Amino acid sequence: MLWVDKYRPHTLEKCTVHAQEAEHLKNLVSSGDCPHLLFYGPSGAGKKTLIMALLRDMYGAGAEKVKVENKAWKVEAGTRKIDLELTTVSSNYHIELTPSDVGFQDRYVVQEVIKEMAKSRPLTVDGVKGFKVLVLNEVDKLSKEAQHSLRRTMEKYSAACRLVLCCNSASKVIEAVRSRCLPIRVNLPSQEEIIKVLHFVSKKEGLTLPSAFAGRIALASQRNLRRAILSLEACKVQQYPFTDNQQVQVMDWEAYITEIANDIVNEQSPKRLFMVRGKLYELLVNCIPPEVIMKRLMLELMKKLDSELKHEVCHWAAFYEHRMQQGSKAIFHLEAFVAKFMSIYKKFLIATFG
Amino acid sequence: MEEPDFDELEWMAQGEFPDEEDFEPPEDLDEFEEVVDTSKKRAADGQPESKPPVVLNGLPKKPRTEEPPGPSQTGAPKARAWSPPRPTFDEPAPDEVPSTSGRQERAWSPPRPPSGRGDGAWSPPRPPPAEDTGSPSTSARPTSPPPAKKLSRIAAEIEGDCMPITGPTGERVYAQLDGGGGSRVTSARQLRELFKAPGDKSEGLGGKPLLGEPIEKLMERIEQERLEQAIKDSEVLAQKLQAASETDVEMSDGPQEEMLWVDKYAPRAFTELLSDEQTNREVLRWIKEWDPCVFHRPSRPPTSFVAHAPVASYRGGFTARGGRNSTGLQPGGRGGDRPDWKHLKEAKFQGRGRGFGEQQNGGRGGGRGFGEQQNGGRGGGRGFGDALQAPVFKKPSDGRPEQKVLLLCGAPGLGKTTLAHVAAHHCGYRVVEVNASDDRSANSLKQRILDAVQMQPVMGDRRPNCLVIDEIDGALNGAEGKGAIDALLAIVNAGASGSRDSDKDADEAGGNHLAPSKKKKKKGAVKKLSRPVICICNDMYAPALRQLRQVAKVFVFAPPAPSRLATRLKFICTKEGYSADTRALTALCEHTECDVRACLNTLQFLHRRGKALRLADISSQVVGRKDMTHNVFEIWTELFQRKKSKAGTGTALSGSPAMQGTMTRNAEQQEFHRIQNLLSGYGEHDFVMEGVHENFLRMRYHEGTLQKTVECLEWMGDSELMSRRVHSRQHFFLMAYQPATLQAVRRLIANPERPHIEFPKTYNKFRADHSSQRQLLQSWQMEMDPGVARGLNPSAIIRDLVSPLLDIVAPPTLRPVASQLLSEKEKGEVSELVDTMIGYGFTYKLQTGFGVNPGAGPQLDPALGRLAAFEGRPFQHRELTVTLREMLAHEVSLQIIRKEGAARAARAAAVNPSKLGDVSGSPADVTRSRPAKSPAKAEPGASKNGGLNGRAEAPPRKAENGKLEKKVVKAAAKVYVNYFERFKKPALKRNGVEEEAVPVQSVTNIRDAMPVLYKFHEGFTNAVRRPVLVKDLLG
Repeated sequence: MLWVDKYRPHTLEKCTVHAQEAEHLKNLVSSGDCPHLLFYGPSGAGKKTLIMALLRDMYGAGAEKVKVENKAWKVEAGTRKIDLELTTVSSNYHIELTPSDVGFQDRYVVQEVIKEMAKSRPLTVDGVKGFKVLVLNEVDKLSKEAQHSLRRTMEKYSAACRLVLCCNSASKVIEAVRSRCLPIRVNLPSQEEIIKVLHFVSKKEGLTLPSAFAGRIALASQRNLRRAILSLEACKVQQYPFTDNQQVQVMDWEAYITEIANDIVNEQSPKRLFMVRGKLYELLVNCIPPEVIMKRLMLELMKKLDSELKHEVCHWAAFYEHRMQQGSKAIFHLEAFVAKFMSIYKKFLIATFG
Repeated sequence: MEEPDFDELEWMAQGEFPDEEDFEPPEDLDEFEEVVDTSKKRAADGQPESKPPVVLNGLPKKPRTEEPPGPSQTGAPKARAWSPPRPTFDEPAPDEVPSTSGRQERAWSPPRPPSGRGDGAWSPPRPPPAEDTGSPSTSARPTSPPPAKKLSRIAAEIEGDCMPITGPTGERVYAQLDGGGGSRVTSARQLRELFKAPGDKSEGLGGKPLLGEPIEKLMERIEQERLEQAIKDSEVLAQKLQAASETDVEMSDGPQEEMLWVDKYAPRAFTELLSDEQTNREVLRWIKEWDPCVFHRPSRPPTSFVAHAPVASYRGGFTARGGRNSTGLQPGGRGGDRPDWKHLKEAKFQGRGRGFGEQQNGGRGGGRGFGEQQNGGRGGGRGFGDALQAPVFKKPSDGRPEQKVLLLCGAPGLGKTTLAHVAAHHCGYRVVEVNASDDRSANSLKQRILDAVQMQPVMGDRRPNCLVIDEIDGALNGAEGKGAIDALLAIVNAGASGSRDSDKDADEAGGNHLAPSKKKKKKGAVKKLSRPVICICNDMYAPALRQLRQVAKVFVFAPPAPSRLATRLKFICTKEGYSADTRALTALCEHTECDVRACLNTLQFLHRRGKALRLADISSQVVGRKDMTHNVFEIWTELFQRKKSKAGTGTALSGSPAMQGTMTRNAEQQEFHRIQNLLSGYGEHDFVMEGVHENFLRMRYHEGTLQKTVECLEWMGDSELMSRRVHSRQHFFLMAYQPATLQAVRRLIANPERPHIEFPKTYNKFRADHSSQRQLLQSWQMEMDPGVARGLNPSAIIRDLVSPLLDIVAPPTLRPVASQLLSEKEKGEVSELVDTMIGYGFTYKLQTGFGVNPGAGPQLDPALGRLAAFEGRPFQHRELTVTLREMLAHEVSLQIIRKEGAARAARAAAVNPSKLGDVSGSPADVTRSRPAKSPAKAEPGASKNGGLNGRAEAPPRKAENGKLEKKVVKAAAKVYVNYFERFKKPALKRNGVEEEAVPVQSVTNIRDAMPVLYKFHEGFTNAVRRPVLVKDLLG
C-alpha cells in the first residue's frame, strides 16, 4: 500500500487536516440522517477522504467493502434507445458514479439511471438505515440539462436516498441544485497542516524527517496533500536517510510546462509558436486538463517576467482561460495566450532594449 | 488540316472505311448544296405562314417583311376578344346575294360609331378575323361607306332574324342573320375584290375586271409570286444574318430558336470536340482496339479520322450557314496547311489534301474558332502518331483491349458524354446509353449490359452496340449502386480467366452473338464482355467506383482553356447573329469555370433577352455563378493567397488616382464576395479553420511583434466559440457568420505568394492519441483495487500520482538477487512493493507481438510510462533491472494466485456450503469409515501440508483493512475451519472417540476444497502444493 492509502483517515474522528469540517459532519450524521451534501474544493484537498469517512461513520465498516462495476444501461429517450456505459463503485449502502463520463448524454444518466437507483429503497439487512447514499463525482462537469434534471430527483426521492455531490467548483453547479444541498467547502490544507501530516506519516513509518525538508516537500506540493505524501514516499524510496537539501521530485508535466515557458521566453516568433503548439498538444494528449496547463504556464511565465508586465499577462491569461471554458478546442485558446504573451513580451523587449 | 501519315493514307486508300472514305467528299459537297436548298426551302416554308393572310387581306406587300406574320401587336388581343361575334359578320355576307359589295360594306358600318366612343376598340379587329378564319368574307374593306342597317343597337331596326353581339366595352348591338344560299356568288365577288388589289400593284390590271381569267391561274400566279418573294426574302434575310442583326435572326430562326444551343452546336464529329485532344484520341484508340473483337478486322491505328474529320465537321457545325459557304468556297488559302502536307508523296493524297485544305479554309472564313480547334488538335495528333510508333498494340489474346471498361471522369459540362457518343459513333457503333434517369439496380443494369453487349437489332440500325453508362457515380452510390457496380465488374471480369474459349467466343461474338450467349447461359456462366463499355462519372473517387477504377482505363477531363472555349463561343455567337465581346466571352468562360454547357446556355439566355453581351452582365448577377463544390485545398489556397487584381493593372494607366482607388475598392469588394461565396458554399467551417490554424504559422506575413498572429488566433478563437455555440445550443443561424472569421484571418495573412499547404492532421492525431491515453487511464483505474480507485479520478491520477508512483515502484536499493537471498528487511520491502503493485493494478509483463524487443524483458502493464512521457523530454524515471522486474512480476503473479484461490474458496464456502459438503462427502466418508487406523499418520501429514501451504495455513486472525490479499487468504483458511467446525464440533464434543479424526477430515476437506490450479509458461501454481496423503495413494 502507498502511504497515501495507508494513512488515509477512515473515520471522521481521525481526520487531522479538515478537523473542523469533520467535526461538523460528525455532528450532522450522529442522528443517523443527513441532508444532501455538496462538497466542493480543489483537487487533492481531501473531499473524497471526507466523503469516505462520512460514509463509514454512517454505515460502519460495511461501507468500505466496495466493488467496481462497469454497467451498461439502456435508456429509452423518446423514440430512440441510448446505450450508456457507466462505471460505478458501490457498497451495500451507497453507489458512487461519475455521470459526466458519458459526455453529452449525461442527462440520461441523471434522468434514468440515477432516478432508478434513487427510487428503490435499500435492502436493509440489519435494518440500520432507511436510505442509501448516491455519490456523484464531478458534478460541475455535468451539462446544464443534466443539472436541471437533478433538481427534481433530489426532492422527489429524498425519502429513499441522499445525494452527496462532489465537485471542484461550486460556481458551475446551478443555483437550484446548490440551494438543495448543504455546501461544504473543502479547501486545500495549509502548508503547516501538510507538514504536520508529513511528520505524522514519517513517525508512523519510523523515519526521521528533517523539518526543512518537510517544508520543501509541502511547498513543492502546492498544498496538495495527496501529492505531498506521494512525494515524501518517492523521496524516501530514492534516498533514505533524508538530507536537508535533498531534491524533491517534480511532476513530469510540470517540468514540461517549465520547458515550454523557457521556450516562449527565449524566442518570440511564429516558428517558435508552432513548436510550442506541438508541446501543448503533447500535454493535452496526456490528459492534463487545459485549465491546469493554462494556470501552470502562466505561473511559470510569471517567474521570468518583469513586474511591470505581470498584471497584463495575468489579465490575458484570465481572458483566454475564460474563452477556453466557453469553447471546446482548448488548443486554440492556449495558443492564443502564448501568442499574446509573445507579443507583449516582444514589445516590452523592444521598448526596453531597443 | 492534319498531317496524315503516309501509312494512314494508304490505309484509307485500301478502303478500310469505304462508306466514309470514298464518298465523303462528294457527299459533303452535296450537302453544301443541300444546305443551300434547305435554307432556301426553309425560308420559303416560313413564308406561307405569313404570306397568305397578307395576300388575302389585299394589303400591299411592302409591310409584310417588317411585320410579323401574326396580327399587329396592338391589334392582337382585341382581335381575339372579337372572335366570337365574327361568325355574325361572316354569315350575313351570303345573305346579301342581291346586294352588291357596296351593300356588304355598308353592313360593316355600324361598328364604327362605337369605335369612336370606344377609343378605337372596334376598328382594329378587322384584319385578324380575316386571317383567323381564313374565310373570304372577311376581306371587307374598312374604307367602305356606311350602308343600311345590318347591325343596329336596336333589334327592331333589323329585318329578319338577328343576333345580339356584345362588345368588349359592354356595348350591345344586334346583327342581322343571313338566310342560306348565294354564298358562292358572294365569295366569288369577294374574290374578285380580293384580286383587285394585287392586280393593281404587281400586274397592272388596273380597274379591269378579272372575271375572264380563271381563278386557278390567278392562284398559280400568286403562288409563283409568293415563291419569288420568298426567295427574295430569304436573300434579304441572309444578308441581314450576315450583318448579324439581332431582330432579323430572331425572325428567321423562329422554329430553330426552340433548340438549345447546346444541342444545336453539339459536336457531331470528332474534331469538333472541345475537350483535350490527347484524351479524345486515347478514347478513340481504345474503342478502336475493340475492332478485332467486334468487326473482325485487325486493329489499325485509327488515325483515318485525321484526314476526313474536317469533312465530318462541316456536316455538323456548318449546316446553319453552309449556304453561303458553298458559294464562298474558294480554292486557295492552302498555304497555311501546306507545311503539314509536305511530306506526302502521293499526288492522289495531295489532291485530296488540297481539297480539304480548301474546305477548311471555308471553315476558317466562317469562324475562327474552328481553325483554332484544328490547330489545337494538331499537337495532339502528332503525339498520337508518336504513340503509334511505340509497340502499344500488343496482340491481345481475344482481340479485346487490356482494359475492358473506359471510365471518363471530369467536372460537369466538359463534354464527357459528347465525347463518348461521338467517339463511339465515329467507330461505327450504335450507342446504347444508360443514364441516371434509368432504373439502375443491379439486376436491371446487368440485364441492360447483357442486352447491349450480346444483342443486335434485327431491323434498322444494325451497327454493333456500344454501351455508355452515364453518371455512374451519381445514382450508383449506396448499397444498390454497389450491387450494380458489382454486376458490371462481374461482366467485365468474366472470361478473363478462361482465355481459351474466350478466343472462340470472340470469333463468334462478331457475327452471331445470340447463339453463343445462349449456349453460355445454359452453362450458367456470365458471358464475357464483347462490346465496349464506357462509364462516365463526375467524381472519380466516389467510393462506389473504387473497384471499377482498378479495372477500367481512366481518363480525367481537364477543362478546356478559356481562350479556346471563348473562340468557339465567339464563333457560335457570330453564327447566331449575337454580338458578343471576346473579353466578355472569356470572362464568361472563367465565370463558369469553362463549363461548355453552362456557357452556351447562358449565352442563349442572354441572347433571348435581346441584349448584347457585355462584360458587366457577366460580373453582375445576371449570370448565375456555377455552384461548384471546391476542393478544400483550393479554399485554403484562396485564403492564404491574395491574387493581384487584374483590373487594377489593366486600367491603372488611364484612370486618375481617385478612380484607381475606387477601382481597387471595387475589386476588393468583389474579391470579398467571391471568397464569401466560396466559403459559405463549402460549408465545413470548422474543418477549414482547422486547416488554416495548422498552416498559418508557416505562412510568410510581415509582423514585428506578432500582432497579426495574436489577431488571427483571436479570430480563430471566436470562430471556435461560435461553432461551439452552434452545436451546443443548436443556434444554427450563427453559422452564417462563420465565413466572416475566415475572411478576417485572410485579410491579415493573405499574400501573393503561393502557399504550401499541408493537410491538417495534427488535431485529429491529437484526438486519437488523447482518447487512447484516456482509455489507458480508465482501464488502469479499473484494474486498481476498488478501495484505491474510488479516491482517484483520472485527472488526479495524471496530475499527482503517476510521477511519484513511477519513482516509488523503482527503488534503487533493491538488490537484483533471488528472493530467498534477500534479508528480512528487504523481503518486507519487496512484499510492500508487491502489495502496492497489486493495489494499483499493475505488474510487469513480458511484451509479445511484432516489433517488441525480446531482450527488453518484462515491461510495466498497463504502460504507465506512457502517461509520464512527453515528446522532446527524456524519460526521467529510473527503471528496474530486467532481473528485478522479472522477480517482481513473479512475486505479483504468485500473490495474485494466492489471492484468487483464497477468494474463490471463501466464496465457495460462504455462498454454497452444502455443495462443498457434497464434494467433500466421499473422502470424508472414507476417513470416517476407518477413523482409528491412521490418526497418528494423518496428523503429521496435515501439519506438514499446512507448512507447505504457507500463509494459507497461518493461524486465522481477524481480518484487517488495508491488507486485502493477505486478509482474504487468511479468511479462506478461517472459513474452512469455521465451516468444518460448524458441522463437526458438536459431534466432536459429544463423541470423544472421533476426536482424533477431526484433523484428518479437516485436511482432506481443505485439500478437496482447494481446486487445482494450472499455470503455464511462467509464474506459479499451487498445484504442486496440493496436499496428498500417502494413505490416499495406497487406499
